[in-house]
Amino acid sequence: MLSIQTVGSEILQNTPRKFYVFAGSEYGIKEKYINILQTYYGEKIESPSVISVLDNMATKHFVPLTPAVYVVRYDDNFVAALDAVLARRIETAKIIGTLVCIVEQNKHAQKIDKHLPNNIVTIDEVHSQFLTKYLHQDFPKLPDRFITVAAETASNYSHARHICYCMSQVSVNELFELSDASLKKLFGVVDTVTENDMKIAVAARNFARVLDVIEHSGAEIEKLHYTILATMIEIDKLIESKYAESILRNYVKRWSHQDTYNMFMNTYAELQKIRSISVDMESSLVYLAALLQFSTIPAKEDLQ
Amino acid sequence: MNLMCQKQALEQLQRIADADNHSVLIEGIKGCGKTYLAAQFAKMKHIEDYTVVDSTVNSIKDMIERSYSLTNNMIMCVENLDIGVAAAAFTLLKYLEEPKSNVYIVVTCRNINNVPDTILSRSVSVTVAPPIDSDIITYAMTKDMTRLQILKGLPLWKVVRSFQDVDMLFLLTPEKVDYLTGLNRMKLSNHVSDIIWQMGHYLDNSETDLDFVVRYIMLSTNSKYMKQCCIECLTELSYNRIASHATLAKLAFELKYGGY
Repeated sequence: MLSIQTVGSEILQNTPRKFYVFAGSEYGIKEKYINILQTYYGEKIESPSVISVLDNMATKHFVPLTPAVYVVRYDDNFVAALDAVLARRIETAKIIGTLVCIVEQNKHAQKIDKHLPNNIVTIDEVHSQFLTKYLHQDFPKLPDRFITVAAETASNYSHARHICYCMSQVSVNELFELSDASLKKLFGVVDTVTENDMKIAVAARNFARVLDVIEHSGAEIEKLHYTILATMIEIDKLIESKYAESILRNYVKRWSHQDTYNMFMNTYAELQKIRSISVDMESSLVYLAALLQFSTIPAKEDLQ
Repeated sequence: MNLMCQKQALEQLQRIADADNHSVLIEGIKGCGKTYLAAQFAKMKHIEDYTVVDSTVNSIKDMIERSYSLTNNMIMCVENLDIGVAAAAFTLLKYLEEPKSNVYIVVTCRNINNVPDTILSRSVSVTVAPPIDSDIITYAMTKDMTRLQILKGLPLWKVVRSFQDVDMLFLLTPEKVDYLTGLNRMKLSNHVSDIIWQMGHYLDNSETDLDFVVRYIMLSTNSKYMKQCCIECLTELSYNRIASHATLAKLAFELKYGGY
């Protein structure tokens, strides 16, 4: 079986073989290679079966055939009929251009590998680094942030391309108004917020961002009160230790000792309420987020 | 051992054993000897198969499954049911509704108000009084007289209120005893995370007994405000509603800033 690197370099260097079988689940990369071959040959011809292409090549034509990439998709009859004889016929066929046969099921790939080991390549999940690189090539005008969102959201290259295509149809200014979590949710990812998202939103005293995190927290919502408590402890440390490193370092100037103390006590009081009486978790968090808006966070006693 | 606090409870348990009740509930503060009394109940019933399980759903389920495979008499002690999740109590309740004739269940709890009524109605309750000073000394004397003389001379000894405290102190190395003793000189100018760490961990990073530490700080301070904060912290720790590290953090904030 050929490696994806070998096939990739052959196609990119314009020295493709006469016959390839693309197996595996990553449809997007298969299509990418076919497009490169089409650019190289200038023509792409979709054919119903491998045998029909071989027959066509064996027939004498009044006007000689021009090189093209012939694409055959999911030809089960070819896989069923493949034996030593057919494999020999393919090896000796004079294909004008390149014939690409696409198969998906692994059991087919195993059989083809037995007879045509120098023609088959399995293309499965692509490493995220390559995925980002390919997306940059395909959508050069899309900013890095949205390429990363697509790569993190998509299950494969093809899916990521669709997401990038959708985003490329909207103005960049409009896209920048949406948070990463909102974009991911738009493309089907439900729980994307992390503990750090909440910590940063609270430390930044950014009401909108806190609400955004609460909205996208899903099952993690139960931990958010504890996250606020942990944020206050961390900020208290950062206020006093000027050299301690933290993701919250940039926001420390917005906090005083009194603020951290009051915010901690207010959050703890909310946690006590939640544990003893029936209080809506989300309303409690929104209330705490609203407290972040005050220039000096009010004390628990002042709020009662 | 002749312990005053357990005298009445032992008499009650003897009556329960004679009456052949299958479900017993023992209530008392932390470290008053509830599990010890459960073991005494097993001796009164002359049952050797005695098992102690935590109040978690899985432990209780395992215990029930095991009981179905046995035919001999056995006593199962479920410790501190009020501290476990509600689901654990309901798992036990299902079993109490259709108990096996060869199985005796002893449930212990610190706060009877947190035990479901449905379990209370199916059990005979026994209340254990908190140990008095002479009980604690009697218990400690059975361990190591020399060590007891040393510990009695330390300020930490004033905090000992239960048999569990005695067990804990006797197990501590001299370094750990020194560390605990020094907590009353803790610097409150440090940042809160440091104060939390100091109260919650020994120098070798093993965890302290939070309840004991907070009681020691409470006894060591003259400040009314700090004493009040410690009492609130102890109450919250006993309720077990909020994670203990968060409760400890609250106390650390209060100790440091003294209330704005």
